[in-house]
Amino acid sequence: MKLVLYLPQIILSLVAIFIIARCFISLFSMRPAGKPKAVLINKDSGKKLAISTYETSLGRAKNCDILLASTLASRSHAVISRRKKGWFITDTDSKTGTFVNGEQTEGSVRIYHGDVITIGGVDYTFIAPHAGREDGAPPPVLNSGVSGGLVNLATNYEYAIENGRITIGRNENCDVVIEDRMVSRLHAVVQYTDEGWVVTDNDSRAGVGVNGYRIHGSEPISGGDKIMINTHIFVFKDYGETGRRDARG
Amino acid sequence: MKSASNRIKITWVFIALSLAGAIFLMVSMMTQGGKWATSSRNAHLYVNGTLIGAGNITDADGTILCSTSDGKRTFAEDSEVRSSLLHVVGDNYGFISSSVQNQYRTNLSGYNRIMGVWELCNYEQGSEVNLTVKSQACKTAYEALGGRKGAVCVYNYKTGAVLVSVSTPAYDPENIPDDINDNDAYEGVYINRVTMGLYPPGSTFKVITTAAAIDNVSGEMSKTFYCDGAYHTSYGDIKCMSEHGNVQLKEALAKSCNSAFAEIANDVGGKALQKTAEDFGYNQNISLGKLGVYKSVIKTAKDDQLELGWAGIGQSTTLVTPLLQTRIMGAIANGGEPVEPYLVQKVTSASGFTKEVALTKTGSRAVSEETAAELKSLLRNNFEAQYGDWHFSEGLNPCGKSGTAETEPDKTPHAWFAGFLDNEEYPYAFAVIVEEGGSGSEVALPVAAEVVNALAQAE
Amino acid sequence: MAKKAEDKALKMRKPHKRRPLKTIPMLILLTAYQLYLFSQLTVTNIKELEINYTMLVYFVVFIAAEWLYVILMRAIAKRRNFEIELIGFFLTGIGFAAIGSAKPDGLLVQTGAFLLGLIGFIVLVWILGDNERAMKLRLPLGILAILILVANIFLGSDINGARNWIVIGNAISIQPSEFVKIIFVFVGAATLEKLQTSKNLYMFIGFSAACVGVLFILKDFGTAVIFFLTFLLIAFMRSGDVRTIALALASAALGGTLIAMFKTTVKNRLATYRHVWEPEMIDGKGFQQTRVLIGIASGGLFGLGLGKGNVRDVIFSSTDLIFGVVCEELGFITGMAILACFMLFAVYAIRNARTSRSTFYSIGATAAAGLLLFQASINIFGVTDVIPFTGVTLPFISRGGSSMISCWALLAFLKAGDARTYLTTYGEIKKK
Repeated sequence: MKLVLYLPQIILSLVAIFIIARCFISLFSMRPAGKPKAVLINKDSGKKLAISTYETSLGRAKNCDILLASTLASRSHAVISRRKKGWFITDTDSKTGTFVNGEQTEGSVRIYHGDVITIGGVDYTFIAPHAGREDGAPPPVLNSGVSGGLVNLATNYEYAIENGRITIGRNENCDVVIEDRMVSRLHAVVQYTDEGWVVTDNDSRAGVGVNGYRIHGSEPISGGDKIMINTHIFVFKDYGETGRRDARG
Repeated sequence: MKSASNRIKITWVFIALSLAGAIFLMVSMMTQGGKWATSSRNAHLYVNGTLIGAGNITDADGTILCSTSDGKRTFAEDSEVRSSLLHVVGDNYGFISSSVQNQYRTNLSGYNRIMGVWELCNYEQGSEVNLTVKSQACKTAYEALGGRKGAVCVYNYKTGAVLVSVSTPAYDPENIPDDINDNDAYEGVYINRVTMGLYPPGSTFKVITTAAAIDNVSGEMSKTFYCDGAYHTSYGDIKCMSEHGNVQLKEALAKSCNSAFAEIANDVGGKALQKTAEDFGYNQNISLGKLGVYKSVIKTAKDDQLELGWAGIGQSTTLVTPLLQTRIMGAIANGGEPVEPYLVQKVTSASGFTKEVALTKTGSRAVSEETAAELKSLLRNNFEAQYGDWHFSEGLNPCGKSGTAETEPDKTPHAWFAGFLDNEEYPYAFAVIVEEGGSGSEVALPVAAEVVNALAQAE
Repeated sequence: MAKKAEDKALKMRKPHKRRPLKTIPMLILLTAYQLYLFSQLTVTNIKELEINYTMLVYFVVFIAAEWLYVILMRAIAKRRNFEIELIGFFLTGIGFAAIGSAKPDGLLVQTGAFLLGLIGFIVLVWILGDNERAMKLRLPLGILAILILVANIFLGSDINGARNWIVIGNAISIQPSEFVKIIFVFVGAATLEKLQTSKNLYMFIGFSAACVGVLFILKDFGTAVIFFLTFLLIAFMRSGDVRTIALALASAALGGTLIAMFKTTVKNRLATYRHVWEPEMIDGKGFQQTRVLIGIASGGLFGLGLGKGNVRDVIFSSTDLIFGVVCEELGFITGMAILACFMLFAVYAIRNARTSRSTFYSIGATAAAGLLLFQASINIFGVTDVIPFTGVTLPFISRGGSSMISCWALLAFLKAGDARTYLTTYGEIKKK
């Protein structure tokens, strides 16, 4: 039967489709990366404006990420952006200008935790973790307000994450000690970063899984995710910035 | 960030346009792929302008009617078989447009939608087309027509297989006559008269008139008609062949009395007559696989006594193809339900896949079973009382009706014969027309008998 | 009570389902696919094991480069996700196979260009990693693009009716407009800070007009259309202003009419459109389209096998008509899969926009994906007579060194838009 010779042609086409489908499914089901977190606090009213994208536009126009009510603010007034080095604010040709700690800005200006930003006559305090000035006194870190927990599913014991960071490993110094030879000395770290909560595999031998799939490097996580260290499973709980479990209860 | 990521959604428009284009291309490929692949510019199929690997065409017995060897398309060995099946098989130049060679070109070339021309490339041969016709019987029909213009069609009214389909004039596709375009003898040579020849049915239409009478007028069977040589109306007369005197329907049909049938048509009425004709397939699209069949037409006048009279004897504006005549006879023979005729039994790809196989399909019922039985006995009576069975081999039980269709005043009328065998073993329905042949029973009937006898003998 | 409710909430929430692709098994499968394709071309006679060694060398280099890239990037850049590159390899591989069938001589240049393209990809991904660095480069690059195009007017030589080639010596000929594509996307993308100022948009409109204008002078109609469409896309993303687009469209319509009136080539193409099968067209102006359509139909869904087609013997089979070669020899399904790749790249760019680190990445990725999609669509639908024929090449597949390099460079914008590419920059473990 010469027809057998046709089989490779069919297989080739199917393999081509499989390769494409598999690659794109993987691309599409990719987890969105973590989000940067910072807050602008209106000095007068105490109202909080959350900044949760890498570039956040402020202004009166509806398509701005943060809507400003002040009539002195321009339609598109300024952009706050998270760059590799830190946070920046850029005035985008506003009429009344943008001020950082009382000084009018020109181009992009780096901003730090605790800076006062004046837009359209309104003062805002900029609150951001890991954005303190290197030289000055360390700012009150946002991390202290952030807490979470890791629940060992086998024992139901909950490890509290106090300072926005918890280490997992075989070594006694780790916050969560697992006595298992398959677990590396410092196996993984769960920490609060600018992008939110992240679990990082410290090049461990057995690897780290999140919700059943092995991760590579760092992976953002959110409350309810299952973190797997070898055969040990922990459920991560996010108690947010304001407080602990009892504070929510 | 919000506005930018919203605006990016404009890209969906372009994706949608691209998708629309892709769907358009897919649909075009599925619908027109055959046309593209069989283009004469396709070097897979054509070398120096000749189709290199077209598949065989065979008849019902497996005789090769057309095949390819050394890049040349050759036809059946026998010259008369070639001529007789010219219109069915087709020629090499596409002049016979309704032929299998032309209409099944995509299949013959070895193209199919899934594999493209892969089979042709690997087997160096396209798909094989098996026809239902019997080449020897067709040859007999061609000879029986004896150079006269006309058509012969025979089909199995139980399966639908067309056994004989011959149209004349024809020519040998391997020896095309030089004077084909000038000689009057070749007038209309490219037309397949079986499916595309539209003729007035003449007296054969009386069968339909009878069916309409049985179904619509009670007591018409026992009514007595008086024939004094013509049917008289205030607008004019319809002449009869002779003075039949007092006749009843049965006798009138056997003797083909025009006076009686003109009156019967008026008893039935135009509307009912047209309805019955349409039930039998007039004004309907009759199919023969992929091959085109012209629509037979009828339009009866409403209140015109004379016109209706003419219509009743098949001499009005009514036109019919020999194929429909055959199908009408098949419907009567088959208890009122016509089986659709087909010509292509099977298409088999080079790698052995059956790509197309003909199935027996029953068309919508023409008349009730009782009416069909009554018509059958009337048509049988025609032979017993009028034509005589001697034309046919013994025991075939022929039934039928002759016709002599007038065309123009000075011309010899067309000779028709349409009938069937009331025989379980040989369930053949047939129609023969000989253009300007004269009397149906004298000219067309012997042709029909010769062909049917040859068929029955070959079985 | 509270804990119970919380536990319930935990259980109710289904864990995010995702299966990151395992790169190495997929690369093995891809290599096997390519090895089979290439073996059909290199092994000319199975029984006597006759092998075309020159071709074998190119294919071995190609596959080795794929592996080397993945291994190096895993080791050095610690990247774990290679879906975009894998699709790029897949497309390039099909291109290699089709060129090997249609014009084996072209493989030398193609292999070299692929290596350069891959290096360009790595460099560009690195440049794009820091968007401040990228933003600084925009102005000089924009000026460079205009200079390249203007140089093209004076130095260019006419090949196939368009003046879009610069021939250096006798051996190397480059197509400057291909490189301008990269710069065009680069300049078109801007961070949100720059987006908010209208001055920036006008500069971009001016830049685009200059590019498209020069391309018209060069008679490179197809590329001008691609630039124009990409311009529309970028302009809308940047301004969101329908009026800007309307103005641009109106001017384009006017320009288009003028072109249709004055340029006989354009007029001829419109006259041929949807009439390619007519007797006077079939061997004339519809020659290429009809041969491609015949090839597509002949190939069926799965193709006739590499080296067994007829489209490959038609002039321009390895460039403009490569889609016909692919469809005839590898099948319509593979042909549609190629188009699907470009559509899915665009879908991916849209989906990624929300989580992107900067509008620079999202606009860059979308513009690059859009440009590739336009070019692929114009090519595929042009040669199949779905739209009027325009002589552009099929990205990644068609023969052409400049084109190959620019395609991989454009792919870098998609890679940069992938949030995981630079993840290590932010998520590193800070050792105490």
